[in-house]
Amino acid sequence: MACTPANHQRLIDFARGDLGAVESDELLVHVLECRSCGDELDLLADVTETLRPTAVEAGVEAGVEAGGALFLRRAALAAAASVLVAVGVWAVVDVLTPPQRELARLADLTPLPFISGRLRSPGDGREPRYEQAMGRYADGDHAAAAEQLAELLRGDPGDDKLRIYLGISLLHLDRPDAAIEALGPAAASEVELIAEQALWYLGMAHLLRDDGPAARASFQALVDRGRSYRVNAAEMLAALEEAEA
Amino acid sequence: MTSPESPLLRELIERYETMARRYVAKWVDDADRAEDVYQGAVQAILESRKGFCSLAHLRNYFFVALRNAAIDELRARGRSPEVSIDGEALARLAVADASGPRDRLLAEEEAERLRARLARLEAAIDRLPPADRDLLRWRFWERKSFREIGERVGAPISTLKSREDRILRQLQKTVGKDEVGA
Repeated sequence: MACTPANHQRLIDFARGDLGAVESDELLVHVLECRSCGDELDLLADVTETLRPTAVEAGVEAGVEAGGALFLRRAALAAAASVLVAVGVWAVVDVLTPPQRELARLADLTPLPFISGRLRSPGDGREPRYEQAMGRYADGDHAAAAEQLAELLRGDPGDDKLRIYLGISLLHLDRPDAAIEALGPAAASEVELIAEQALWYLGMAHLLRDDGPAARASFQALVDRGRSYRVNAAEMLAALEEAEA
Repeated sequence: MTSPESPLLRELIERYETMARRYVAKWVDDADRAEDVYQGAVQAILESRKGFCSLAHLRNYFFVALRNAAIDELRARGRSPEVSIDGEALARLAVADASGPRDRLLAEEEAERLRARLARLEAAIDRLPPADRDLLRWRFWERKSFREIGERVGAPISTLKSREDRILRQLQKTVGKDEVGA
């Protein structure tokens, strides 16, 4: 365990996100120099990730309520998603996909994890309704999530983050046209990451519509941007090429 | 030299994903900007062509990079975060103990060790009594306080703290403290 009981407690607080920024700084300096605390920090990181709910627990397939803050293991950015997630996602796609839509099988509908309320700016009067809608989203109840997110978006059409989550829920409802409508404006966001997320799911929407050229355009735009989604988009382009060959 | 696009290196970094996001959130209170800081720090490491001589070296480098990126982001917005330690000094500390060779490909070897460690940890957590497993999940995933858990299960806070310490000691012993991070 850690070198002192006080440091042991501070490491736990740090792992849980309970330690303030300045206190975290002090702990970080200590961890850089203390092997045993570094080992304990690694254990706490590994315990936390091991306890992350799987896709099935998060209700992707069956809307099973797992309770608490639900995240999906390895979000869309992860290059090497777990087999469980892959099975869950493919199961969803299989249900959604009539046989004639060949390209839809390529679509990765893994939802972006919902970043919990503590990360969001306080003081927004919409916060309770937003949290409720995102609770539905995290539970895999995309019908309710889409309805509530659409209502929120009508009140604030400029909220691109809402557009992303709404678009994802619509994709899960096999409504790619509506998803494209929701995601389109977000692809022009000035926030790089939001624009990339929108492009990624726009690509998936086009795949669900079996529209190869449009999907290719979305993924190529991500490759050209050369940022977070570059590798994943390049893989999608290669898969598209193979599917269409 | 580690490949800049190595999924293995990403895997090693994402070991700290939840903890790192929580850490960034302590500095940056805006969700989108916090996400940008996190993704930017990960991407910078993936593309840096930097070599790491150990997982501990990578961990230290990553958290210092997150911290400095978060402070840069705040300053770019005209904010003046309370900073008690100079970022460059911290960066020097992060590499001070990294005395091993940095030009060898460590990612695959370390990723294998990490996977083995996580498999042992997962098995150990699976073997825990359900009440212990629940305690860990509530504490480290759902971030419940001892008070909240105590009200839920009808146990005193002191008992829950002792149980948490015992479980963590047990898990540390199971996974072997020298297995990674050397």
